[in-house]
Amino acid sequence: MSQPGGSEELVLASDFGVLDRVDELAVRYGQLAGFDDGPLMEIAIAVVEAVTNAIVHGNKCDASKTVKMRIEWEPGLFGLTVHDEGEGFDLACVMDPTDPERCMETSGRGIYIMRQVMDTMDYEMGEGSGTTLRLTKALKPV
Amino acid sequence: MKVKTDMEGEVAIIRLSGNLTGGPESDEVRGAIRRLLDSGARKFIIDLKGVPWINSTGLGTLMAIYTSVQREEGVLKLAHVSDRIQSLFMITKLLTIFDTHPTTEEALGAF
Repeated sequence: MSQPGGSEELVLASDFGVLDRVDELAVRYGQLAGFDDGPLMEIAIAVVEAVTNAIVHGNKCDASKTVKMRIEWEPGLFGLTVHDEGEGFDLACVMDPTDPERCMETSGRGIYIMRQVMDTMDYEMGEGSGTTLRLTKALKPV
Repeated sequence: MKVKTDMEGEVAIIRLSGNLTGGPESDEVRGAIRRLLDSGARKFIIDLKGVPWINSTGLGTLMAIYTSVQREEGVLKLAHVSDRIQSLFMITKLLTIFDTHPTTEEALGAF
């Protein structure tokens, strides 16, 4: 009998070394939710990007700050929440990295990538309370 | 991440193993390319056989390397690009920027 769903929460150091573990969890829970091949790879790409953004842009690689991550899954649905201790940003100011004038930039692609591969993306920012990102992806009917 | 450099004639082959995620390994790879440029190398292959995936920060490292090599009129080719890295190039519309080849031998033959 398949499991109805579940969740896992982790508190991660602001260190790129956590990304291998994050990738493994994304693949594991994506598989449990029923995703395979391409969509599973997209989930892993997005989860790694979400935590990378939290480390780099949220916590500014400050080792004293942590990233909280929660993965929720159920058959046909994968959800991720990532919280950092950063000051937030204006989502409207995020530029399109595929714009020919910006395509050679060495940064600024994380949010664009997550938007492309996930179904929903929501940011919640409050003064002094950090930034919370929520991503979801649903299995497409065949 | 491990960075190993070999010369095949006038082509520098930089073999990476481990994920390219923006940590100290990014500086290591960029430093290796910088030293090769300073020593006169202008033809480069980055062999990604041992790199299952990269993130946007690693992608930024590849872009920085590409720009450094271009600025000095060099040529950069990538070999053994995984499906996941290829997918990242496609999502970010960088497929046309990077010259990718299935193997190092094919990349060598393309100079």
